[in-house]
Amino acid sequence: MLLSAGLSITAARADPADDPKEAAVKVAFVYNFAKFAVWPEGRFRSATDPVVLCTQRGDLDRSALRTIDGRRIGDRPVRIEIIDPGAAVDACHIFFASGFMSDAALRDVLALAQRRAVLLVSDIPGFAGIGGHIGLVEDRKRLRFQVNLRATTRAGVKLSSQLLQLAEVIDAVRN
Amino acid sequence: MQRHWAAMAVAAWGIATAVPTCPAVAQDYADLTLEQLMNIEITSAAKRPESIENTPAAVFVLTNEDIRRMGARSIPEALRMVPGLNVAQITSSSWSISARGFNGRFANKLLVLIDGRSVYTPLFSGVYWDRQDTLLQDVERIEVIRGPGAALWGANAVNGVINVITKNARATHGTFLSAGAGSDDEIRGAARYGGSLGENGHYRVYGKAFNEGSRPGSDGVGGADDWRSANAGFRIDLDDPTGDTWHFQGGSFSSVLGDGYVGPTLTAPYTERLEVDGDVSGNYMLGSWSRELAAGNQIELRAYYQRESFDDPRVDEARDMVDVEALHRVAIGDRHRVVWGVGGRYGRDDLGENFAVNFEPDSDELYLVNAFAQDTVQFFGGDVEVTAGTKFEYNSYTGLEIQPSIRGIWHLDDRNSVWTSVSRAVRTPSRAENDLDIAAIVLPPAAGGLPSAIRFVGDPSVRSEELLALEAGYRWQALHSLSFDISGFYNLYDRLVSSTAGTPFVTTSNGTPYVVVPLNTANDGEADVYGFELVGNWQPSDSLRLQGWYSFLQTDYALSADSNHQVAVRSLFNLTPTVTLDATARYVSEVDINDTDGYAELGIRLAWRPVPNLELAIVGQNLLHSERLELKGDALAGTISTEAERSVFGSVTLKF
Repeated sequence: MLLSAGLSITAARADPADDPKEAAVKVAFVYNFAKFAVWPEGRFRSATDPVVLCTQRGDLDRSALRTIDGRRIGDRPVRIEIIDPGAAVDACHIFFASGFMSDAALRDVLALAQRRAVLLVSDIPGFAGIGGHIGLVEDRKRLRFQVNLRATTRAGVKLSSQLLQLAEVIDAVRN
Repeated sequence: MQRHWAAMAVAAWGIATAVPTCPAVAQDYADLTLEQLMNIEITSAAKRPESIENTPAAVFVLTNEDIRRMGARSIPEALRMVPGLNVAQITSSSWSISARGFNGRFANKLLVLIDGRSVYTPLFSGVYWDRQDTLLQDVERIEVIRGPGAALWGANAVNGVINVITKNARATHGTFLSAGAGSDDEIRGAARYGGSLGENGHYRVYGKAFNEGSRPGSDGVGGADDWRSANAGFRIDLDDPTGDTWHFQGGSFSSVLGDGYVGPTLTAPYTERLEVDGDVSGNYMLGSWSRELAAGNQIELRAYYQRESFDDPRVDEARDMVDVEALHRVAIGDRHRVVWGVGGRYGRDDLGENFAVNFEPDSDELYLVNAFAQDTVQFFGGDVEVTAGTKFEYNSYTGLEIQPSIRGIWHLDDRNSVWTSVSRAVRTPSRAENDLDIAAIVLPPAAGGLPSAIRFVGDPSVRSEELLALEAGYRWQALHSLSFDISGFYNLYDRLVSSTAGTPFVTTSNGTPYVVVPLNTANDGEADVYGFELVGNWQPSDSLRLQGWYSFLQTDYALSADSNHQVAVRSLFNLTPTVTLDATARYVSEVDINDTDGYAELGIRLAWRPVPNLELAIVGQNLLHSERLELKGDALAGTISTEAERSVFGSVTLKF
């Protein structure tokens, strides 16, 4: 694992809430990831149990999040949970983190996500490379995404080949 | 009428300046697919997703996934699924492709670019489709614009523009290997390797090769159109920390093309059937540099050099071309986005000579210089966008050509938009129309007389063909999962290059006397062409995507090989997370000019990805016919068309 090596790049970034368009596009990406992810059976109590998308307070623009709150993925509604920094992410299916966390907090989240099959998405630079699951990367004014296939597989979250086709799959074997 | 337009423009301007810009309507980005999201400019000041699908033109995009899942193994094959394009295969390596009419082997009103490099040949102002090959796996998307794009791209973007865009080397790290084999001795192999170059650079190198066996000839004799080709190339992308972006690419190919044709002779029976192999090879290098001067203010320079040579008994051609272009994009205030640029091109050719084909002079230079500017203005907070622009191009054949256009799009709400445009475009004459002298056919002597050769004779005073195009379209996102797009056009062509019979005279070739009936080149043609294209997209579930289109074309031009109706439906179905089953069905109506029948056809692709690194696929094509003729060849080159056969192709793809 490259975990400890890369954690210090959690420097301050521009608040995503500054740019409502960027926030809305990021939320749309996260929603799409949810559509193409399959969690282990045990993560849902029933077939109509919601997909819970968590983000920390202040991390993503609220009005952007509202565009996906209540949408459905198959039979499951999408539920948005805004949690306090440091709060547990056990109940989340997807956790979107931005560049605000301390190294220690990030390490905890990664470890927990691995145990509880939480799909971790972030726009922290190099996120997928440091053991995160899906990293949003800005490239020529557009967003693309990197997937750490080994980390998602280990977490027990399956990503469809449709999503992987579009992803930059990194460190699939090593890491 | 003109005054009325001006008054409207002034009124619109007045309203726009008087009303403060409204806040943008919240765009529901969550309705977009991942691929669409990846195309959105997130840092621009624009009020709406700035993607090509949102422009006031008849646009269609084939994504990498679209191409892969139709089982296409060449660019022309992929273009079959683009609405409004007419794609017909003549032999295994020759195609006739056009948008909105005027199709034929030497179709000449379409501009084709690969990563900004123009690949149409000045020889006949068309495209040698066999030479336009790259690793399809590395093609990010193919953007097709039906209708003129001349204000931006210049002459020859008359009926459409095809932009093939390959992936940034950043996105192609790792090893990719692919091999496949199928019916008719088809064998293919491809390999690519990509990685990092220092901290901010990326590169890839690739190579591919294939062999395709011959297909049955339409004259009942076995075809001679087997061909084989090898090509290799590289791409480097560098983002240096100061914000400059560099991009270099290059490639090289070599092919041997088989062809069967009927050529004219001066002795009985006055035709001969020949089977020949042509050698084609080419190289190119392209570099571009861009710098972001400030947000929304960017300059870009691009230059390329390409050389191609072609050697077969009919044509012996070598051609070099250098092209340089500079672009500046700048946002002025909140509402204006301006693009302007200048460019120049220099080319030189050497052409061989024989009884049937002669160019005079046999070597020629041509050059052009151009400047263009276009401004996109937003009104009503971005709900209405108007783009006006023009290109001025000076070329060594016809002098100055001015190609203006004005386009507007009105987003009625988040789900509906309408657009319209008026544009003028020209097609500059080709080298052939200027300088070619070709014997198309020799008629046997009438009662003891001499044989007569019908010769097409070029004319250096030939002028450009003109088009005035009126277009309109409507896009409707009916549901999250359902959308429609309809575009209509009325094209008025003038000064079309035509042939008129000249005065016959007697001459000799190697001591054999014969009569020459010259068909002189002139600009006498006129045509009105109109039609529409309707496209529907439906994604009933996450695992199933359907796309259908219908295109209608009506032309009063008698000499083009156009079908009036085309229909296509494709389905992309994820049977399980690892198995996909995709089908394409299409119908093309008959081509009247040369009695080619209409046909319906079906292709199916089944792919299995047992692990993410490995894909096994099998593609069945032309499943409805054991043999089928798509387009009869043309009299000019005498090519004997060959027939498409039912075929199967299996492939293994490995990525690591």
